[in-house]
Amino acid sequence: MKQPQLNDPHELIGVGLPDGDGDYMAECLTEEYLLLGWSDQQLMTLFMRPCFSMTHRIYLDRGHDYVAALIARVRGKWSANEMDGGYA
Amino acid sequence: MPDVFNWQLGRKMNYPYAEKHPRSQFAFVFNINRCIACQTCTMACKSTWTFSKGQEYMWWNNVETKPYGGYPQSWDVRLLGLLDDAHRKVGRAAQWDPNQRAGADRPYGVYDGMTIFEAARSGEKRDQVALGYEPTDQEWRFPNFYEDAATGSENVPDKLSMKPATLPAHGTWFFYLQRLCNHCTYPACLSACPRGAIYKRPEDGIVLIDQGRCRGYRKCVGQCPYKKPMFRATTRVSEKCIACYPRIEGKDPLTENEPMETRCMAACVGKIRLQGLVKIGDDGKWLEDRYNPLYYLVRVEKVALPLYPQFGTEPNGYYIPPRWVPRPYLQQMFGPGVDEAIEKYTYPSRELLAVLALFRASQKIVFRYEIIEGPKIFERTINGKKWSMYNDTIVGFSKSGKEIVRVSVEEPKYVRPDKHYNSI
Repeated sequence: MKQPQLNDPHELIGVGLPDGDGDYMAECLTEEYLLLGWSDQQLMTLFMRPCFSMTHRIYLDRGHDYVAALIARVRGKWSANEMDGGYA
Repeated sequence: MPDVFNWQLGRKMNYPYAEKHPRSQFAFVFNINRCIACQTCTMACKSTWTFSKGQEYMWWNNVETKPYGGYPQSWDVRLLGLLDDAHRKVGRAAQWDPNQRAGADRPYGVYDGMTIFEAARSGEKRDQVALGYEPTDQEWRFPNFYEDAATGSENVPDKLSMKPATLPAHGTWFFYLQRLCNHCTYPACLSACPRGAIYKRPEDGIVLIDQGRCRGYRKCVGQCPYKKPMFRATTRVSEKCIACYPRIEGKDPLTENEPMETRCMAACVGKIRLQGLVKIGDDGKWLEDRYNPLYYLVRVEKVALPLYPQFGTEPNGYYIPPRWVPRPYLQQMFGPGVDEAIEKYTYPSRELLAVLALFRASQKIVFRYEIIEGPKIFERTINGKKWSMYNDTIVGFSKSGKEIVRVSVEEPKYVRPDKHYNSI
């Protein structure tokens, strides 16, 4: 991990930070848009397109399979067909 | 210097002017969890207000990548550093005492440290009313510098390049922070102006710079902690966000005299923004307005929190904090209410879920809502907690009491045909 250089005008660029959970970050973002009604294909596009830097960074770091599995897992978590009690 | 009451700090504080409050206050809530930094808000503002000569570097609304980014560069790191230095010099610590939480006067407890006004008074050189600094031209010049890389069209109309960014990447957590003028209750820009050119409108609390009185001393630029007043070299006066006040006044013919949300709010693609007006009493406290969505989110559910409340200006922009970010970072940015806010957002109550559906459902400002209960549609254990969802319908009403929006928690979906360019 690069250490911050206080005399570097771009001292915060590309510096890793302690703590934080990248997997949870990816899950939260997926969940937000899935709950807005986005399809799996739309969600995958959100990760694949470089215009959306945050989600695309996850895509580059973790790969296509990771994102596909993530979307499937979050879909399963919120899917009405797989819920504990079913529709009331 | 008189004492004024700042409910976000849970105590009185020094401010150069005695308390005098507007009848209502411009305020907004941003849900950070949903923002993907598409910058549609930024461009909506830019194309409306700051497209002229001398305004090239001005972004009254901007979205920056945290923890790295800032416009102007490192504005909050610099401010926090100045505040830390001021505390160190007098041997004090800037701490919150959340145990003193009590009702509407102290919802986050009490801040024991110094605000930017108090820190300015504690220094040897009292050349500032509020602690601050004036950013350099270099710091203003590059919004989102090294934060996110835009993708161009490769000279082919309507065809985006799919090549990834090659700039240094952030190998860690991050999130996007949406920023505009907070139209603070105790504005540092207003207090810093030696000309008395900055004023807070009594009808809606919007903070404006009188362009006729301003002589461009730039004291507001240096002492606003959020760095939202900006100097225009071509006119030699300062400018800032005007909260799209013609829209707030209902002057846009589209809304038939009903107050309308600002350009940046109305343009939000991710549905993260909700803006309105809250009622203010003579003592500056928010009057109870239980079914105003902003009152509910900030004062009842406490899911939305002020940005850097420790600065002491009582900002009127509130944020639902991002769930995935380490708590100490969020607590520094939004104060001690973070844990409660995230818990409530992660497992939203029936009412909160309905109110979240109001975000970006209408361009008109929602002054009151009603919820019509619907059937339970979902019940299961989420992250170890039993949670139910109801397909309630929420109805929003305008200032004059007309129904302006009706939306259900489970919205009917319309898929835009893929022949349109912006279908994804």
